Amino acid sequence: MIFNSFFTQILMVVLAAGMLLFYVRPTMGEIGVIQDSILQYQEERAKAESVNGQLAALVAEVNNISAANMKALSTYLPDSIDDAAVMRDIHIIAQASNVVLEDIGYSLGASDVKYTPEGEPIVSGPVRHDFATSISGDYESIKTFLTNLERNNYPLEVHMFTLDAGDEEEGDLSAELTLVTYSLLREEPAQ
Amino acid sequence: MPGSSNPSFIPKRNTVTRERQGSRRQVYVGTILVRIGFIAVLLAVVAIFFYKGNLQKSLDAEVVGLSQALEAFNEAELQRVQLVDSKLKEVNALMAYTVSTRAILEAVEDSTLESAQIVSFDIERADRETLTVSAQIEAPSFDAVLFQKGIYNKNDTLTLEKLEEVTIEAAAAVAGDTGTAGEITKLGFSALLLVDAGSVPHTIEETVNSLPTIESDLEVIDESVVDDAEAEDVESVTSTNEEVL
Repeated sequence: MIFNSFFTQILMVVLAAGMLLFYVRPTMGEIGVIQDSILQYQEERAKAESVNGQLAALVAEVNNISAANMKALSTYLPDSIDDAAVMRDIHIIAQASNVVLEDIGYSLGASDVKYTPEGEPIVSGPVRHDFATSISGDYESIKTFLTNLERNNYPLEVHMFTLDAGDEEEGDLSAELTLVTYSLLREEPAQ
Repeated sequence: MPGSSNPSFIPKRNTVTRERQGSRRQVYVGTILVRIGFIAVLLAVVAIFFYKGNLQKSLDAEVVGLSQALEAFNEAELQRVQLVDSKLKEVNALMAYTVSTRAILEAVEDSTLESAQIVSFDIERADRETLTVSAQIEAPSFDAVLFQKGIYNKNDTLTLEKLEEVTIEAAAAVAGDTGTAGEITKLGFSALLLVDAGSVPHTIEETVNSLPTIESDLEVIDESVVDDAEAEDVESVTSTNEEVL
């Protein structure tokens, strides 16, 4: 029989060796690479799904904040401010407190600046807006003005306050204040 | 039959020879091993071929899954969450360092002697935590100044940093009147006070401004801005976001 011949057996050994060398061995290497890739993809997919899940949870949490609270938050720290609107508010507070608003001016305050390891400046924290204000009135009215500033629905922090006895005969005092409010984003200067 | 055991012309098969022929078929171990080895290699090739195909399908499925997960990520939603988160953090920081200027004014007022008079008053907030107050005060005598100093030192809100710029105004000597000549009529000094910002927090009163016109124009703050529910929202979202981002 031909299968029993020596030549056939040699051929079978050669074929087997050839298949092992030229198919099985390289294919096993490829299988190892594919298995590693599958593991890597599984890990990355799990991470991506985890991030998506956490983002979905956070979005749900943000959506759960009531509209009134979101509005209050945006009012307390707006993206940007209109300096004229703030001046108008200070004027109305002064009127309500029975003090005279003598003068008011606006300037963009210095923000906290931090630096990257490469030395690049990064503006951190909210953007500060300064309002230099002069008022006059009696002592109680000035105290009422300070109270009404605290009652405002966005911060009007007093960073500098100078009180001087003005026209003592009329019982009026004059005060210089630097009121500070904040916005989240820095406004680009108008071109 | 005698002389011939087999009269037939057909030759008989020799049974001995047949047995010999049958016993020549030999089984070689090497042949069997070669065949087994060859079949095993063939089976391994087939198995590896299908296993590789299966793995490739799994890899394709993982690639598709990862692509879908990446596509499901919403950048706009992340930015919205980050914006709200940064607002909440900043607002928390701002609210943590609120200072009531009126409270400082009243603290100075309460701890100043009746006989002393505040001529001018300055508050400066160098940063969120540091407040310095300087007051120009006029007192009738050194005893009053010392007493005033003692009151400031005992105050919880104000701490006397230094007392300086002491000026003395004395009565002029008048001929024939030795009793009042040189007597101090007014003593001025400047008191530099440090204020613990945490002891004078910004407070929201229950009663809002009594003037309705202000409420409509200014949207005077209501309690919802600082209510406990929002404070909880703020803390929970902030802490969660810190963990994730």
